[in-house]
Amino acid sequence: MSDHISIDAFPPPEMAERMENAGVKKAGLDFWSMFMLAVLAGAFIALGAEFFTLVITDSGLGFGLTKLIGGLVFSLGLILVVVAGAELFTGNNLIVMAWVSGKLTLGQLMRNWVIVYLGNLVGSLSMAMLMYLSRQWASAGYHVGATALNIANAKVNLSFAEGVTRGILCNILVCLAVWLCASGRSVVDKILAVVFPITAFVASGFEHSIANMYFIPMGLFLKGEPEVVAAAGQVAGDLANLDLLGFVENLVSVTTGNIFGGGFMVAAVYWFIYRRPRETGIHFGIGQVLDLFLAPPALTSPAEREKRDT
Amino acid sequence: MSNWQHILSIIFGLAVTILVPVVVWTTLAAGLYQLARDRIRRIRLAPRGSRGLAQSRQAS
Repeated sequence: MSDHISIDAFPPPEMAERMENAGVKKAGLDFWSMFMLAVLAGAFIALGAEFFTLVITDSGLGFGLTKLIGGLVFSLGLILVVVAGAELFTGNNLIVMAWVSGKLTLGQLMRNWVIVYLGNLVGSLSMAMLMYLSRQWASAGYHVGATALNIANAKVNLSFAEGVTRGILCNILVCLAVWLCASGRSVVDKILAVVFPITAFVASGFEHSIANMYFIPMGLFLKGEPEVVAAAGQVAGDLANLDLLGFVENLVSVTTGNIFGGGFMVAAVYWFIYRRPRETGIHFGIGQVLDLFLAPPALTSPAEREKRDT
Repeated sequence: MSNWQHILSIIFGLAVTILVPVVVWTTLAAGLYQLARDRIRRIRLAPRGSRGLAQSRQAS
């Protein structure tokens, strides 16, 4: 037994292995544990989003610094998720690593994503409702509410391509934040790992599907408050797209981008670099891709695949 | 904007608006199909399993 205690960060190949095993564990959670953890994650991200809205209101700073401060405080959401423990849909796009390794079926991956997405929606909507009822948005002469309304209105006016690309870029950074967390051994390591990628995505104005589950409903609630609409400098026609259809359209494009950015551009890429079967070279043709989509897990494990091919 | 930049922007635009959604939605559809198939299989197997359990209890 080794008595050596290391304080060094885990190296990337070990991070990849830890991430893969974490994916298997996450997918194996029972329904209620998974759902409740997802509700918590939705609420945590909503708290970060509310903090962001409050801080950027009348900051008195320039554009860049306001965005920087807003991004820093938004990190609260993901810090709560990774340290307190919760199931966040965008972070769980990294479970793709366990799927492409053959440790999970696509059905098991989808079970996790569906339950977690719905749980995140419930958590975010509940927090939006609580914030609305608290009338916290009336502070600073309704300017906090005006900021929330303008954020929501800008989101529903994005085109499909903008939603997808901003979603891709956002979840690359979110999944990199979660990926970096896998290198950490302490709470401080994890917090430091989260702060910069999250600040970068928020400051850059990228789109996070779960955060939008708070931002847009909050705008929908505030749209009916004349003082907030006046403080936001909006007239009725400006808010024409801020409705349930606009919310759904935004979620479709942004979620599509989030899945591609996190699942394909981070998880699958790191799996290919560190976890693909080495003994047979690259060995990843169209047959193996079809296996992932159609076959049960036993046939998609590298050992089984090799046995069958020989 | 030069011709090459214009062509590249069209290619990337098409990739984002067509290729990315097709890849993601195909994965989701295949996953939901697998999930439904697994659920149905489990539901079909469950009565057989409980019947077998009842028979073994009777026998003992």
